Amino acid sequence: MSRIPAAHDAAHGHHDEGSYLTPRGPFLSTVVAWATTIDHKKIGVMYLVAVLTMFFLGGVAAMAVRAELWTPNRYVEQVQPDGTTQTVLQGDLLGKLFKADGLGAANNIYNRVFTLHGAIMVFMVIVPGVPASLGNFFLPIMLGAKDVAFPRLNLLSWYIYVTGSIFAVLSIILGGVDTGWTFYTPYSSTHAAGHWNVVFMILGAFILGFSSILTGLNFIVTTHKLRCPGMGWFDMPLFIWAIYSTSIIAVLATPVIGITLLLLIFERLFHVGIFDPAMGGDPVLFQHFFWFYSHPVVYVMILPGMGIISELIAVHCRKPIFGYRAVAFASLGIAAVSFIVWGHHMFASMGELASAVFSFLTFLVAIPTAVKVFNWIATLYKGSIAINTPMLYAMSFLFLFSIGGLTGLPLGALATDLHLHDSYFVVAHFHYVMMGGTIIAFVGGLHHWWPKMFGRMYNEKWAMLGCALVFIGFNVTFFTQFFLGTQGMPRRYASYVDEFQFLHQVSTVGSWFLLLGFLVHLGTFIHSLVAGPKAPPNPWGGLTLEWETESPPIEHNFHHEPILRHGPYDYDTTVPPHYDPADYPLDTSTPPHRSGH
Amino acid sequence: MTASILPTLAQRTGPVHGLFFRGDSAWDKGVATDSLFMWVFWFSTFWFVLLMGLMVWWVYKYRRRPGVPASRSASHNAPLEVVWTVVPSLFLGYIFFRGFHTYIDKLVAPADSIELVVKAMKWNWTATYPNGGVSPDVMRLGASDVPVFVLPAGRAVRFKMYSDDVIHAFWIPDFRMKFDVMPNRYTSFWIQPMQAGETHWVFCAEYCGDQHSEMAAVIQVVTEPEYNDWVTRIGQVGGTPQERGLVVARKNGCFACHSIDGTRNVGPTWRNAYGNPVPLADGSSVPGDDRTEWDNYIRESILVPGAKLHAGYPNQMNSFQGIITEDEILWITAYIRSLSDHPLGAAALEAEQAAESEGEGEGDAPANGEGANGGPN
Repeated sequence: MSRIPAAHDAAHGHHDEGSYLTPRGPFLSTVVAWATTIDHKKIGVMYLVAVLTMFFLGGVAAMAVRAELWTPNRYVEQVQPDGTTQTVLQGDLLGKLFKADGLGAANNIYNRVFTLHGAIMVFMVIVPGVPASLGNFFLPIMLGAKDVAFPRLNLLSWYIYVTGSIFAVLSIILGGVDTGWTFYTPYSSTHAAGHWNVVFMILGAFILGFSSILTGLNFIVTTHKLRCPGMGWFDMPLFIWAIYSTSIIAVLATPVIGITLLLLIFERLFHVGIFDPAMGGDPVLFQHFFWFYSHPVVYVMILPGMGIISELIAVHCRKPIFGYRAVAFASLGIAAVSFIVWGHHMFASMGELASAVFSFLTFLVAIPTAVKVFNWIATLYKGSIAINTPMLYAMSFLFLFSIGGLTGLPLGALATDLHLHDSYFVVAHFHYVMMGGTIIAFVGGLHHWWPKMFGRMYNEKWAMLGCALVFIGFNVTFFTQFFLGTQGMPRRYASYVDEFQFLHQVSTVGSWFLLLGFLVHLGTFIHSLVAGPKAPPNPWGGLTLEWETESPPIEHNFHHEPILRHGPYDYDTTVPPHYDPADYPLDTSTPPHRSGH
Repeated sequence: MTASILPTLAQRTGPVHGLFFRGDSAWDKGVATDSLFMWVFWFSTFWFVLLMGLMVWWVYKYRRRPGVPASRSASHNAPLEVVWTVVPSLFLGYIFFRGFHTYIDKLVAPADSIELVVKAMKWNWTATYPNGGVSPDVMRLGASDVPVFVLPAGRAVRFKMYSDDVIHAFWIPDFRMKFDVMPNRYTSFWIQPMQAGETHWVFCAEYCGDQHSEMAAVIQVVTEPEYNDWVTRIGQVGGTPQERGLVVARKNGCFACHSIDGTRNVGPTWRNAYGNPVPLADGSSVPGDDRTEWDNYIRESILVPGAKLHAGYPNQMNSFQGIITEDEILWITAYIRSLSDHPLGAAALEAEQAAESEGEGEGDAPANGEGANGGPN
């Protein structure tokens, strides 16, 4: 398409249509209106609230895990008041808190807490997080559409998400599960205590899968069919490319975990023997099924984060992303290769040939990932770079995600993996990718789009302080764990040998800074909602379509169907040199000068 | 061989290596693994510093100034993009190849290896030596007594591993080696300890339930003559019934859940158990003063663990039906009895003494092979 600058100084057509947040009627009917809404923006906000609630629960579990690991569990001789000595257990913080009797019971509580943390963070926060909240809110607006292709299906997805989460919470109320979020057989199918807890947790994950499938389907159709006039595939913002790639993976891979979890429930309830070696089944078969989904899902988790980073860097540097097509194709490339690397989770249980093949394929997926990082950094060159919270988060992402990616190399190489597999090195690595990647991008994106979503600015200084605390806390918590892992600390341990105590304590102190950082962000957001200054339509000077509507957007997103007249990052050709992009009116209310779309 | 390789190992320790590892690996394949790890570390550090340096420099240099728009610069550059795709790919290929090479070295054992059969079960390791002996030694590691496996310096040792229940993993961090231990097939790898006098941790690395973090062992390296003596000694299963019972208990991993010093573990302690009443989960109890009842209680608890459940303990024990012989049950019973200060309870002891003063032979409990050896004190 041609890039005709829309140099209209004409004022925005301010209509009477209110923002999507404007209450319609008394409190109760507003609640009902939200609960039955088919507006993608409201559903996005509802997802945001649900995901952040689960993030809080998972975070509490994480803090409990770090607190328990402050000291190892030890039997010590203790002199009683009556003069006798007695052997007592010390250091089992969670055991004491929940009045566990003895070492086994205390360790069991720790095992339940880390399972809770993992299951919530993976299935209820990181997998659905960005696509369901920010994706739901911005995918249609960035495409210039009024809504997603199937708005009712979208609402159904949210209710399915909530139902799945309720099953998981039910499982916790029944006593929780101690299987780890990976549910490895035969431990999960025959040995783990708590029959219905296990079934409910697995059922919860099973139900959540349908939410992913339906949301993915909705986004794929929306991207294909509802792009506004003038928007070709390569005029789409990179965030859309990322969400689109993610949706393809979610639709293709989630049914596999669905059937796997169903088989696991059958195994647990009826002892059908698919995974039970005592009945001729194969427990490693479960691992293949599980990772055939869960590895692609690693990219379901990270691709939306990468999409956010592309937006953040382009907008806050006011430059087109260097090698836009390479970045877009890298998303698709990662999505494709992600399906053939699942075996690298099983180097310590597979034969040599399979391990060699999967190791080789794993190095392949490193290449498009590296290309993306190079492109983001090249974009900075000769930019006009704002130093604000979204940009700091983009830089944090590049820092943390690079470490996460590079520490994947010794895990992909077979010889080193046989040492590092299932150690704290792996724990540190995937936290650098999942949290340092996805969560950091999510929080950065939340700051970037916050003024658009809620129509109010946040306090930049406090938000930057929160970002700094999160960055420092994150590195102190998790960089330490690389050393723990190489030195021999296995993951999922409730206790450890004395030699590891110092590093564990450093890691725990880091987690307090991380908590503090998130609390500062929470305070900043609440303050913004209550007392933040009103946000202009385009506070950062972005060129994608969401900045062409009001903040917060009106109910139907745009007053008229927008017509794309410039690419998503065409700062060079769209904005005249004497304009600051933030002040330049990106008017879509006037019909274009040309016809034929 | 031992003496010649060690100085070269020590020279490889650098300050950065020392941050990541607790000293050098205990064998040359581990040193090769560390060498690859450090190569990847410096390779990664180079790219990381380059990228982050550019990022921070450019963000500072091109920070936004009022009225200054972003300069126009190329939006893509095909040759540059091809170079930064191809060059890292070549390095990644190199890392893959080295990783595969050392991996094969660590898995394929030499033909003259000593074979140890390692059995994993919740939550204990046992190693059976070529002559059928099982290590009777234990060592306190963390909160638990863990088995000690004695290995000779300079000899290749192959672990042939299987699990009795769930998936475990046998990790020896000092040898940079681990492999999963499966319930439905054997897996194996090998190591070659170099230096007599060293001890090495073994951890379970695949999550296996409550006491996963207590499932450890210690490898103790001795000289080959010491090893040969030791193996010969443990191969001769003999001695009194309670001595045999101790070996059987170790071999079957009883101490993973049952302490012998009175501390509470996953299962009830064996200390002062025999001859004292046991409260059961269904409200009834095993009487403390009846030796036949007690012998049958132990036998039944080994073969059908859930039949009489000790109050306050979960039903977590696996049945040893088909795993343990009748003789071994007798020996374990003798061993458990030896752990009791009052093996029959005060009342029974008095009755026994009274019977003894009246006449010979009547006081002993019926049908017990261990005879006088079973009683302590």
